[in-house]
Amino acid sequence: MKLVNPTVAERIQIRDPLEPELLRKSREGDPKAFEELIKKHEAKIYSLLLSMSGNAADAADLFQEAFISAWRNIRSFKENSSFSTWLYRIAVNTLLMKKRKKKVSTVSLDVPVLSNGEEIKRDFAGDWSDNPLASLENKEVKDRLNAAIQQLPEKYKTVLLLSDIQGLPNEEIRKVLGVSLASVKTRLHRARLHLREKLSEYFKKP
Amino acid sequence: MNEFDRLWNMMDDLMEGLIDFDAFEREFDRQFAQMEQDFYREFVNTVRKTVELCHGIECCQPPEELHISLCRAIECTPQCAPTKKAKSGRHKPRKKP
Repeated sequence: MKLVNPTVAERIQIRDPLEPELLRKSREGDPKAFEELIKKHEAKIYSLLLSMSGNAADAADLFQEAFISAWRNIRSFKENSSFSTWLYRIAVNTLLMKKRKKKVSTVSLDVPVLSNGEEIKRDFAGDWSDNPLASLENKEVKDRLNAAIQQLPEKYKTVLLLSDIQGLPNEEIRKVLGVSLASVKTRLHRARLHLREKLSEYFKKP
Repeated sequence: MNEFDRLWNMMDDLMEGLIDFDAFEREFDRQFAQMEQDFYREFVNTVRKTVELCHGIECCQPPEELHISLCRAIECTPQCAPTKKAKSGRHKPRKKP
């Protein structure tokens, strides 16, 4: 069996050769070096927080908080994982702490709970995978997809965002969330099933 | 392992790039020949397309002013001392008198 899936190959994270030096300088208290690290990772962290929080104002607060926390604690970063994994963990924890404080639950009651995936719902939408409208250039599909992601219960949403949008391998996601690999896979499957379900509703013929 | 679990394991391998789509299809045909193929094929294709669509969602840059204010905040934020290594819990052997 071959290793040919180009999307996965593209998603493999290649470590930046400059990063160790920037990390060393940051640990020594050089804010300019840390700013360079921010530039390398800010888009991914901001996008994750924006998708997770659902609004730009909260995302901005969380973004600042996460990077300031990383700066404050960078001397404790032991490089047991990559710097980006460590940052993701801080960002996710910052968000979860904030939500716990606010006692806001984002779990949607509309989401069907899939019973361990034993049953596949028959939606009779047909195979829409070749439909030319199944593209992100189709604004309606893009909006549906984003809405479906927002509807996901938090633990599924986090895994889906980290995996299918941020491109982290499952092993990294396991480290970020501190859960088992099996949990990561299960959550990812359920999240994907939910999204597929929502897109199938769109493509269902009347 | 039931058929559904086997299907999921194969989907895992496909998504993680351990097998290509042709190999997946061959294995699919071999393992699931007795099943309702059209339905499962549709199912697999549409899950695959859903994941592809997710891969197409682009990350967005934070607003410029947010980046600037973060850099300013960093410059006037002190760093914490490194945390000490957690104790292993093992007892040190007592010195003999």
